[in-house]
Amino acid sequence: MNRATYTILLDNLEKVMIGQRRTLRWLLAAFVAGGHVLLEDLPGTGKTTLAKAFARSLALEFQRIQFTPDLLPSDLLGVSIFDPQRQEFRLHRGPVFTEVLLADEINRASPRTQAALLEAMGERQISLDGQRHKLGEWFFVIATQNPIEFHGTYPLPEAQMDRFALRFGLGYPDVEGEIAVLTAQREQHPLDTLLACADRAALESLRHAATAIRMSDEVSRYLVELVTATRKAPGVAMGASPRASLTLMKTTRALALFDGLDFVTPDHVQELAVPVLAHRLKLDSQARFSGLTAEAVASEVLRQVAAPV
Amino acid sequence: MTLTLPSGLLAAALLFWGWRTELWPLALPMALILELAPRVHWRWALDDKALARVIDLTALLWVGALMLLFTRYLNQPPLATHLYTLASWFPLLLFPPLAIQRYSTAGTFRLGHLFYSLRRSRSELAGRLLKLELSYFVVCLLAASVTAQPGYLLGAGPLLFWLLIAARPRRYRWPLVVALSLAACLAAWPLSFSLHRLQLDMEDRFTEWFQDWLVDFDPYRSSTSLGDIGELKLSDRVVLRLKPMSGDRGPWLLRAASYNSYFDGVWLAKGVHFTRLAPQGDGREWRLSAAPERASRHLSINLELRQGAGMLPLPANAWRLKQLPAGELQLSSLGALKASEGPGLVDYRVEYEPESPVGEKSGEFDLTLPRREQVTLQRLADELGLTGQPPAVAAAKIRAFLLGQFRYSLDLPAPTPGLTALETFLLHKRAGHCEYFATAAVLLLRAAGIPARYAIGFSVSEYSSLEEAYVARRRHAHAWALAWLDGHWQDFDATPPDWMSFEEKRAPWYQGLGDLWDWLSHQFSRWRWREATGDEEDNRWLWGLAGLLAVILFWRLLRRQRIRRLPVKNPPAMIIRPGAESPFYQVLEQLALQRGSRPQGETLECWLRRIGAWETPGMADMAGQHQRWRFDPDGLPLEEQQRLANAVALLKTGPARFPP
Repeated sequence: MNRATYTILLDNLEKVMIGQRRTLRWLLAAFVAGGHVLLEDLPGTGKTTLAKAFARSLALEFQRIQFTPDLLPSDLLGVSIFDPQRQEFRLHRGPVFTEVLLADEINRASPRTQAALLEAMGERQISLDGQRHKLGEWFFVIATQNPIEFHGTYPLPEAQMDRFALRFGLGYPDVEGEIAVLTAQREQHPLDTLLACADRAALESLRHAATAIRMSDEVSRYLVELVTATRKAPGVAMGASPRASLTLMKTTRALALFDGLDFVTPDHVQELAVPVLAHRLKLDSQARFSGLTAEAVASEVLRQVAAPV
Repeated sequence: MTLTLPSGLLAAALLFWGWRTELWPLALPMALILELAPRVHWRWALDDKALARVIDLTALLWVGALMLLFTRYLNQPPLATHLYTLASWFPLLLFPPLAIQRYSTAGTFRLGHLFYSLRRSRSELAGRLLKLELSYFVVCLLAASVTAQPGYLLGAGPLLFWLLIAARPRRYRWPLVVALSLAACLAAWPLSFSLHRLQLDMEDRFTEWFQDWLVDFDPYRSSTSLGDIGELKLSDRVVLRLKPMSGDRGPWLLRAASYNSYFDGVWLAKGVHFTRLAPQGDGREWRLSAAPERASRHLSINLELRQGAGMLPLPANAWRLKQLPAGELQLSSLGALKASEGPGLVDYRVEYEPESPVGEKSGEFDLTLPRREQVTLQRLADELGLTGQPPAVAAAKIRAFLLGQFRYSLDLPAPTPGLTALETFLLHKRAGHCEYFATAAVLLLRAAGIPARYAIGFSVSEYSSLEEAYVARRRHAHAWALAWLDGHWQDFDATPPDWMSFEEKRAPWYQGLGDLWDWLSHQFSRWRWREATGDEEDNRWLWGLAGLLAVILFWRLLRRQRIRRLPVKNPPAMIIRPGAESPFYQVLEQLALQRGSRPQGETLECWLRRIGAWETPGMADMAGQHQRWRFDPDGLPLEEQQRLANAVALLKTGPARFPP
């Protein structure tokens, strides 16, 4: 049943995000694993559309915040305002009180505002005026950032990066795919007609089923070897954390679930290693200037560590 | 306050240096590199470690330069030329740190980079910033001053003026600054000559001090200190080492030269001629006279020769030398032996026979009395009753006279007016050093009708346990008389025998240290000339030094905890590979053989798709079953395993083979 839910969701989303099956698969894996996603790609590749389509497909409450340099934490989390009639402070909830949050161009806001998201992403709760506010179990952040613009941006700090389960790009569709996009939008945007195709019970069932996926000791060892190898890789100043190991385990379980398996194979680990590990690596300055990227380091680690066959 | 140099000054100083030392092909790019730095918009991000490495490399550069110059010096003395060359290279050898300072993001070195002892220190001292520019500027000027070309002040003056103008406190007006600078330049002009004079003076002093290392005897002429005023001072430096080979205990009188004519404090060798000796045997053996009838004694003498040439001190009646690698050996008619074209250090064996006299006859000059002292000497001879006595009796009387009525002294008194220094010694002071005694003895012997000569060399009696040899210090240089008695020349030493202990008492308190230094430099010298002295085998000291260095290194490593015990690794956990017996491996192996093996990092499905095997009927199922068998903790049910085995067997034998 769970596999069917996944297939339906995937097909539904693909109506909007044509030719992006792999990306959609990863997005859903992150969601099922309870993580958040950072989309890094060029403008116009459909990042925002993907987030919207995702929220609509899953019938989740959706909010979008455009991050700007003057955005304040209170703009995000909410603010308490004195109500003269009732003689008390009343909390006006910010856009973060939602289920799917699209943080558009997250690296445009100041580090202070970025940090306001930390608690929400890590613990699904918000502390405001000394009170804790729970955010709901479906709270899911899809953040986007533009990799080529550097002026007026604040790179995300490592702690924030570590909160994202996966980072990946959408990439340009191929020629056929792009023609299909044109065809689909000839009359109206497919997003407008997109219907919800999964209810909360189905999502609940998906998440629950993912926790039951088995992982053998051999695969666990391989996974940990990959993560520890990033800490010793040349050019890396800071490798992936144990949180990365945990995330990799959870997301690969989701992948196994999507594939109709009840165990994780090394193939799943290999599929997600780069999107899970790359953004957590901090390269040293020499490696950065020599043109090395975190993705290249993670791919090299993948090539170096022998996978069980 | 640190002085900031105006831009362009360093380049100008470098060009000035290049012009003076004719190293401008180097100076030009160096100046360019320094001056381009502000116009270049990149910097090296060098961390502490890298900066320290730069200093290390510079140190290596210095070591290389020193070694190069040292090898050059060994081939082409004198040393001074090479010291000057080194000084003229200073800007080159110090350039790397300065260039790195200009081009690194750090922009400056810290004191901690310079010294090993401060590298790990977190003290304030180690963190102190170093700006090298000003020092480098001074070094450039210094290096430019080394050459002898004129016009140094013309270049250095304006450069210094430029520097001072830039650093001028703003409250002073221009005209004042210019006037003061000009005044300073004018004052510097005569001062520079005085300085030059001082330098020449210092060089002379240094040369004197340096020459003290080696004793040099002139076979034709020996100036004595007779008539000098003051105090005779000779150093304690060890100049000769003697090892008796046959249980001899000395003391030995080693004669380097002898003279036959005295005039006003100077002994001369008149009518002397040299005979070249031919080497024998291995080319290092020399025969001075016929072999004696009796078995002779042996001595080993170790001596440094200046530029491979000099007089060789020998015991009386030496007849053969061995292990002497000299290019040429000449024997004088007065019995002196002169070596040339030899190594800087000789270690030769002498065979001599005290009982069987050999050597030259007495000549016409051996009875001549100097005109100025003739009357005094004759009178003294008469007073002593020497005339008409047998030679042996007369000689004994002279010895008794000199030993009984004279004392040893190193004071050089002023001569009594109207008398020569020798007369003053004989008639009034009755005290003096060995040269007085020897001269007096020679001349009195002659006055008594006994042919006599004046001999100089060393008196060796001190044993050094450090050197394991008898040593002669420079103050053991001695003069004595040779008397023609019983038909051969005999050593006739009339100096009071306490002269050695007299000198011993004047040894400074630090003599032990000086001896150690002498020993070390002698060891180095032996090593340097090891081939010439045949010392190749004896390099124990070198091993000793290497051992000591190894111990120090080990101790340092231990102290700094660079040496750490390797952590004992836990034995790798036993990896259980369930499903290792899966028959699907046979398929994978065959596919890898046919289409190339699967690269690391590629998933099984991707690989199978890429090589076109995924579409083979049953392949996807088999891969799934295999993966379940391998990676599902619950494993593959038995019947599934059987099914997989069947499918694999079918694939291998049946019609459904892999697509090509």
